Amino acid sequence: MTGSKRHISMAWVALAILSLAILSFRLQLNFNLGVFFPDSNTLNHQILLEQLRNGPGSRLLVIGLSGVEHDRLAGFSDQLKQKLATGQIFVNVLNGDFEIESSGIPEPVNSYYLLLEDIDFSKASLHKAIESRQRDLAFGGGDLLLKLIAKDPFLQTLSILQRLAPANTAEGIWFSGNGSAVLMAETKAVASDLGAQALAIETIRNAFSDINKPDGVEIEITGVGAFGVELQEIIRAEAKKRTMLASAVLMLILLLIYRKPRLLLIVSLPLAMGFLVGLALITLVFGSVHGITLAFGFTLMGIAIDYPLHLFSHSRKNAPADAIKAIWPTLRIGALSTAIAYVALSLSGSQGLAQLGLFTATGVIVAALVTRTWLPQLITGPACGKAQGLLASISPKLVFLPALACVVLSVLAIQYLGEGKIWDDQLSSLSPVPKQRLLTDNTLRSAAATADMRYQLVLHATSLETLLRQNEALDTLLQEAVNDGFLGGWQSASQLLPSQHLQKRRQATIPGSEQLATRLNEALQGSAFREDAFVPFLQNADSVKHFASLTPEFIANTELASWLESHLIFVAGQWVSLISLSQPQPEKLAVRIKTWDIDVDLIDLQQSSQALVSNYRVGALKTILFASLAIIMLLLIDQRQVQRIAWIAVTVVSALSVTVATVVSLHDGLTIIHLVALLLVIGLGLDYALFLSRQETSDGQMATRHAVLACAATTTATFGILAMSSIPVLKFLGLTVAIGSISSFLLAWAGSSLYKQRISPDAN
Amino acid sequence: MLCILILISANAQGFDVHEVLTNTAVTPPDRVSFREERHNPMFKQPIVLTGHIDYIKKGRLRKVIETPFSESYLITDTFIEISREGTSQRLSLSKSKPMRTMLSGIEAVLAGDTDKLSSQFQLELTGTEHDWFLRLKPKSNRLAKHLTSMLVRGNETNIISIRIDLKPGEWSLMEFQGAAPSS
Repeated sequence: MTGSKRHISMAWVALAILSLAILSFRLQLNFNLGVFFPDSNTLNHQILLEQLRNGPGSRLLVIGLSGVEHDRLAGFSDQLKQKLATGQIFVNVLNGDFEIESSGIPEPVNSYYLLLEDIDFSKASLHKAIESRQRDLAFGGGDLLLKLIAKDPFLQTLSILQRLAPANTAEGIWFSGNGSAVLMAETKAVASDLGAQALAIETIRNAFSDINKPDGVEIEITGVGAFGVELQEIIRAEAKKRTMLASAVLMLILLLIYRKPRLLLIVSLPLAMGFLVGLALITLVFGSVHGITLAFGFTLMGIAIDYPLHLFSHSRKNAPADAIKAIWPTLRIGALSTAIAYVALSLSGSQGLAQLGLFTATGVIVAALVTRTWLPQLITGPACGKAQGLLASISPKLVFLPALACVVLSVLAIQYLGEGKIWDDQLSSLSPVPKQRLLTDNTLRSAAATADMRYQLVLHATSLETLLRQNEALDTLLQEAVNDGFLGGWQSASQLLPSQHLQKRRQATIPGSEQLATRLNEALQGSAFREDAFVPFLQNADSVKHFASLTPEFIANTELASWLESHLIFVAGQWVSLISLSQPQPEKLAVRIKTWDIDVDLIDLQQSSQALVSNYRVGALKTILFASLAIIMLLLIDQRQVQRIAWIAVTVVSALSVTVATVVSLHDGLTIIHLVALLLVIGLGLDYALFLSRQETSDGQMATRHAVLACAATTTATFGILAMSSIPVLKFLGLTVAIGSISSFLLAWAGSSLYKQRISPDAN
Repeated sequence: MLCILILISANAQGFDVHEVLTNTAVTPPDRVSFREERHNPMFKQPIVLTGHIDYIKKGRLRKVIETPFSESYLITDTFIEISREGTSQRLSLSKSKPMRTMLSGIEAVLAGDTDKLSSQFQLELTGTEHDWFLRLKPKSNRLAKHLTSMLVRGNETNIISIRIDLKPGEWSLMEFQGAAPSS
């Protein structure tokens, strides 16, 4: 090894060590899927994304018990609820059976209930309440009911709690349509905290196994957190299995093609360096790296495996140093073009994709440079190259017909098979959760009559006080809508956090302690209650009258903090009240809302999510279109061969058309995942078309065809293995790239091999 | 203590729970009047209720309070319907396990359903067949936190009274009219 070669090797090793050092000290992985949601400028879209991340229901683990008859399931449901309610992991565990015996009264309702409702403290009202409580106790009480009545003779506490419950607790234990007893366990941790969610699920399973029950009783757990945990486990196992299988197939193909085991080690070097340097760079730029960036990024960087294969094929009859010189212009322009496409991805609107784009673009460039500068030193090729310059150089006769024909056929196929619908804008289609699990979750949730997942009312204002006052006015109108049958019920922030104005007004209506005691004594006349039976009520009223007003900061430290967080958020400089609805009649409600003198929006989350994804996709396509133009300009400047560039462009477009037509006919439509995969197809198409349209000697052409065949075989095989995955995201990615790889190869091959054209005797 | 147990055991010899409850069983439809005292720590004096119980059919009772106020409870296996001042409110019995267990226990006593009683309570029969006491203690620990015990008193042909002890210090005694204890 000469001095300069040694320096190059040392430089790469040093870069690898530096990257490793950066990763050791700075790399932080996160698994918050939210970073992959598109950034959005509209308030409604920001609200939608906030809802997906932290909205009502996102912290609920839904538990279904099945396998024995109804009554026995009700008993097991109750036992499981009791076991889970005692732990520290859940805010609340409900099974439809609302009873204060087990749940207690959470703060701030326990202390502030007198400020959460309008209460009539007149003697007549007190007398009526006392009479009702006497009748209640004539039927039977219990310790907790006695304590509750002593503190709250109006029993407002119970009606407040029932109103705040995340699901209907008025009809007894929940049973789903398929006969399962249903429980809802609200975790303290957010859904994206997968460690805490895994612990919560383990706690539920342990509690379930502790219940004395017959064989055949089964448990099913769904919910955002449960899906996150399952996915983490499944993706890890699936990725490991598929990676090992794909690596084995890749090695086997390379061994068959090159018959040199040493090359198997060398082939991974550009990819490994690209991975290390790319990862170190995004660690420095973004601080933390998403798990999906790693998984998808490594996949997209798969194009880099082609670079050493081109070098190997061209080194079979040439010295590696000569071979790389011969192919470098093509390899360089291919790598640059691919990097431009990936950079476009990073500009398309979410932090996750920005990471992915920068990571893969860096990786591809680094892999190309490693192939150019380091790999030739590591390959043991022929001692010296043949005098290539003496041989005639041949330029393939490039034909456009196959590619153009495929474009037309693909468009027709999309029209016929996909009914002209290319895009699938359902946000749920991006979900890696199997549809069957989503269906089960839906069935179980419907038993609990949780808030409607599609329609929501939204109020917003720059000041919290203004917002809450508007909300209170809206509550009155919503009650009218309930009375008129347009709505089953609603939950809004003002039910737990009244405006300061209303709290002060309610405080003012609480009589002074002496006056209240006098009224109470008068009301107690003729009742069976002792005179001191309601001392806790008098004490509480006196305290509440002088309490500082209830604030979001106070509630943040109470058991109902998560309830308020899911109904009151602060986004884009605005306070937003999210009013969840149950059993809304959206059309009638929309008409009614227009008559109200309050600026409230009825949001259709489904429509909003489709618009969000659609905007996202349009933005991504525009960026990719600009990137494509930039790639064509780059090719024209670099190659200055208009016909060849036109052929390359048509071939890549054709391969994309065929891929899109095939994928659309197999899936319901293209999602963002497919779009990411199509970027890799562009990279592959460019690589194959650039190399197969090269002007070179017949030996060189043989080597190029050998290399492109090797590239296409390895890419198609490895992504084909990914396409067999049970995880929708991996399946989409694998299938799209495998189809794209094979169609790119066949179109480039067919369009360049029909004719050959002799150019000059010494072209290099 | 052992002596007491032996004494109780000896006293109860010659008759068993199944036998006494079969003898006192009421076949629906039937009606029985009651006087009930309810004591709890919030009351300065017990509330005294009078009224009647209609045993409509198996699994369905109606408790009608006539004094000191008018109110009725239709009790089924799954719900209670409370009629108060011209309005009715139906409550699911799954909301309160102690209530459900107590009510089903009372119905089982009236119906002479020993199997149902023994599935939910530990049964302890004392006294003589002319004046016996059947103490029902909940088997479920959770239920025992709320319901200490139920004590049924009877003679050869009738249930005389049912005393229900709740925690803490709340109890009621329901005496059935026209069923004087034989002494």
